[in-house]
Formats: sequence, structure tokens, C-alpha cells
Amino acid sequence: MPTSFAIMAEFETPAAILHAAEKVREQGYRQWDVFTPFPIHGMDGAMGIKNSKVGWFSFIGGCTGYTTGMLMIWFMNAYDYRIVIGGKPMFSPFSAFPPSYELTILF
Amino acid sequence: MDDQAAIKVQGPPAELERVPLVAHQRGLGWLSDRIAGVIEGETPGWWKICFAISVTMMTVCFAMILYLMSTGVGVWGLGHPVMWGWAIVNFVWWIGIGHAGTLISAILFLLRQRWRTSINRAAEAMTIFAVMCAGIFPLIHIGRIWLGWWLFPIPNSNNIWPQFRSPLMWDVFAVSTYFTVSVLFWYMGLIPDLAVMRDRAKTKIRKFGYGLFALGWRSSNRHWSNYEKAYLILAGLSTPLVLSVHSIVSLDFSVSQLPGWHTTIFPPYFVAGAVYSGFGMVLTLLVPLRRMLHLEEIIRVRHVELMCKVTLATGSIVGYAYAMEFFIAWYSGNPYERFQFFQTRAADPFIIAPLMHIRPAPYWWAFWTMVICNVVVPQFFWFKKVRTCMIGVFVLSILVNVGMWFERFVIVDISLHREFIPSNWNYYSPTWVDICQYLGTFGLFFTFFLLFIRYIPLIAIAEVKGVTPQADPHHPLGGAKVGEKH
Repeated sequence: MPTSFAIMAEFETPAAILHAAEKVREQGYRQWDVFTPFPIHGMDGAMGIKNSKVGWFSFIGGCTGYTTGMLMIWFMNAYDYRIVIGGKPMFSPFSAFPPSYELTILF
Repeated sequence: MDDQAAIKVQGPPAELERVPLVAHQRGLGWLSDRIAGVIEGETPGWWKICFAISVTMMTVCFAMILYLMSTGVGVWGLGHPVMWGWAIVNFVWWIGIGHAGTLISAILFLLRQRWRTSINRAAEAMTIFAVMCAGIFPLIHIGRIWLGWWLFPIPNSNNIWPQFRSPLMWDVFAVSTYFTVSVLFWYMGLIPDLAVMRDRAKTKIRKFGYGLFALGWRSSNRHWSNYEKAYLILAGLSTPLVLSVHSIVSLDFSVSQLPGWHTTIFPPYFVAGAVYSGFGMVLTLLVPLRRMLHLEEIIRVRHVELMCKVTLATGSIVGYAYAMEFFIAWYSGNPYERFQFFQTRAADPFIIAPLMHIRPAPYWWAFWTMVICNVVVPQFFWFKKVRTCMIGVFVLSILVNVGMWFERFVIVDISLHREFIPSNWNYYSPTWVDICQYLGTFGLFFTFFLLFIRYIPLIAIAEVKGVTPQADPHHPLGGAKVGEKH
């Protein structure tokens, strides 16, 4: 008798596949997956998947972007080649905010 | 029978039930077939004709750029003191149009407005192409295009860096970030649908093309989990981004000291106007498209109605902003402000000028076109009869765009042509190059848009499926049993 390496099942409705996923999770399986043509609400919980790490990456990216913007503008306009505009301070976080903010989102 | 009973027990009374987002309870397979069918079917005749016209106009766009580069900005109608002419008007207008796409895709997503799913893909595509058209203008406007790289933080030949106190510099960052994030957001939403197209593809080239850009998407729930998170974050990032972009564009004007530009109301006023014009453009595009591509069951009258309501709301905000500008000009007591608003904008030769015993304003017609199109026209959307009449909506949506173009013209050029000293006054009129350049960007826009509807699913298949009752595990049509608890 050949050993089975994998098993596949097809379900008609989202509710059926959701309940099936809950049962597979209860049995303690690790290497399994659910394929659906659209994300099913509650499936992450039913499969026992942890919260995606994408959020952390985005947060780190945002912080990097903002710091880069502020440092870049300070370096360019107040340190490397000073530009005097109307006798105002060489560096002001207010006028540097808009580009830094855009870089926050970009990164 | 069981399912039928369940709907009756669980749902609200029939008269309170919302109009379903997809008509006739179409199945999930039907949705894929219908939307992918637009691409897989034969190229329609009207598409070929429109494409030929668009490509011709796009050629005009590039020809005008070439003429401008080889000759100089003198080919435009610019002259002291109106140094910002049609190019800047068109820039602000196009980028404003883009804003509705991001609003639909990001803000309505965060607000869980499920009706956005039928229109968000096309609206985002519109955003991207509109921003492309917008981006051309400031670039060619700098005159010496070969020095365009001075705008970026690269030290030039004298080792001088760009000057970051200028809002024009902020604009460079805002617009380039906006474009990048819009493209990413759009592309990310596309991945599952490109995978659908890959799996349905009949020819090798299509399989390879769609497969390459689908990045190995397998519709696994582990993919969906990361996808949904990333989509949510991108939506969260795009929302402040879209508000900031047009705010920064408005700062180009309001940071200056010119009457008519120097106001604090500009950022919210510009954003409202941008959303207003963008929804106008979405309506202009989708109302004929849904008919020509037979998508009435997915982009329903209800969707059009809801978009009309957004147009009405933002149009009213714009009307309020106009009124507030006039009030503040009067209330400030500043003679230059008063002169700008009452004598160079509103004074028409028939009523106001004779009544006030002043000379009529040279551009009174531009101002009053703006007021009629932006304040009066959207008020028609209060009526359900207008909102559900597709021809009416189409005509009004074009007027919305005309009105918003004139708004940019009024702000940019009317403010400029009457400076502080009368000896500086001048009258600005565009040259044929200005006009052809503007028309040319329509060619660019429609060429890309037509290619988009022909080769990319113009409705987000996976997202529309997600809002049908069949996709809801807690709905009887999704397989839930009566009285079951979760």
C-alpha cells in the first residue's frame, strides 16, 4: 500500500472550508494551507496564523524615512553648504517637515 | 429550501435591505468570467478608434515638449507678471484628479465602504496616469529641462544642494512619493488578479506575462494574511499622503505673499477641490465604460449614485471655501485682498461692476464659469432623478472637470495678472502651443487608460468576490447554518 504524502480537499462554501480549517488546526498539523480565491474573514484565526510581521517592517521603514529626511536637509542646507535665506536659522524642523514626512511614507 | 428560510429569518425586512453590490446574486465564477472576459474577448471597434485618436494626441504632446525644449519657454504665452500659466494650471488640475483614486482605494477602504471594490482598480489607474500627466508640466516648465536634476538632492556642479525651504522643493518629494506609493498600492491589489489571468491564460505569452507580474501568487491563506496586512498599512499610509500632497501643492501658492494666494484656507480647500474633480473624472470614465463593456451588474447605478453624493459633498465644501475667501478678503480690511477678490475676480460687466461703479474684471468670465460649474452644478446631485440618469451624470461630471480647471486658472492666473503696482499689470492669453500641450496630455492619459482596460482586469476580481454574500462564512449563501454561533 503506497504511503500518502499529502492530502487535498475541495470545499463548496467559505463556511465549510473555515470549519474544516478549524478541525485541522485542532489536530495539530503544521505544514498545511488553505487556498481561496479571496481572503476569508476569520481564516487566520481558524488556521492559527499569527499576526503578519508586515506591520513591523513598515514601522521601521517609516522611522528610517523620517530620520533620513531630517538628517539630509540638515546636512545639505545647514552643514555641508550653508544657505542663508532671509536671515532665518540655518535649520528649522518646520520647513524640513514636509519632505521628511513624504520620505516617512516612501520608506 | 433551508437557505431560503435562513435569509428570511436572519436578514432585515426587505425594504430595509441594501441594494446588493453585485446584481442578480451572480456566482463567483461568473464574476471571474465577466471581468476577465473584457480582456480575453475580441478587441472592440470603439477601442481601436479611441486608441488611434489617443495615440495621435499623445504624439502631439511629445511634439510640443520637443518644440518647447528646442525653442524655449517663449513659445508659451507667459510674460511678466504672469509667469505661471497653463502649465501650472494643468499640473494642479491633473494632480487633483488623481486624488479621487487614492481616496476611493485608501480612505474608503479604511472606512469599510464595501462599494469601493467595483471601482477602485479603475480609479487607481486613473490616479497613476493623471499623476504622470501632471508630472510633465513642472518638469517642462523649468525651461532648461536638461537641468531638471537640480531638483533632486544631488550636489550640482558648484556643490550647491537644493534649498529645502521652498515649497517647490517639497512638491518634488510629495509628487514623487505620491506616484511611487500609488503605483505600489495599485500593483499590490493587482497581484491576485494577475494570478487569475495567468491561470486562465490560453497563450504562452500571456501566461508568461501575467505570471511574471503575479510574482508566484497561489491564493494561499498564508499569502492572503500578509497581503491583507500590507494592504491595510498601505491604505493607512496613503490616506495622510493623499491629504498631504495637495496640501503641499497648495503651499506652493499660499506660502507666497500675493493676494489671492496668501491664505491659510488653501490646504483643505485644495484637497476638497481635488477630490471633487477626481470624482468628476471617475464618473466621466466609468459611466460610459460600464455600458460599453457591459459591466452594469458589477458597477451598478448605486455605485454611480454614491459617487455623485461624494461629488456633491466635496463640491459644497469647495463652494463654502469660495464664500469664505470672499468673506475674509472683505473682513481683513486689506485693500489689496479686497481689490483682488471683488474687483479682479467677481466684477462682471453686467451686474456687479455697474452696481459697484468699478471697471469690469478682465477675467470675469473665467471666475463665473468656475462658480457655475463648481457651486451650482453639483447641487443637481441632490436629486435622485439626476443621480440615476446616466447621461445627466456624464454631462455634469464633465462640467465638474471644466469648473475645476477654471478654478486653477482663477487662482493661478487671475491672482498674478493684477499685481500690487498697476504698471505691472498685464493680460495673459495662451498660445497654440499651450493649448496643444494640454490636449496632448489627454492623449497620454487616454492611451494609458485604454491599454489598461484592455490588458489588466479593470475591476478587482478578488475584492468584488469578497463582498458578495457567497463569500461570507456567516451568511447562509456562504454555507453558514441557521442559528449557528461563531
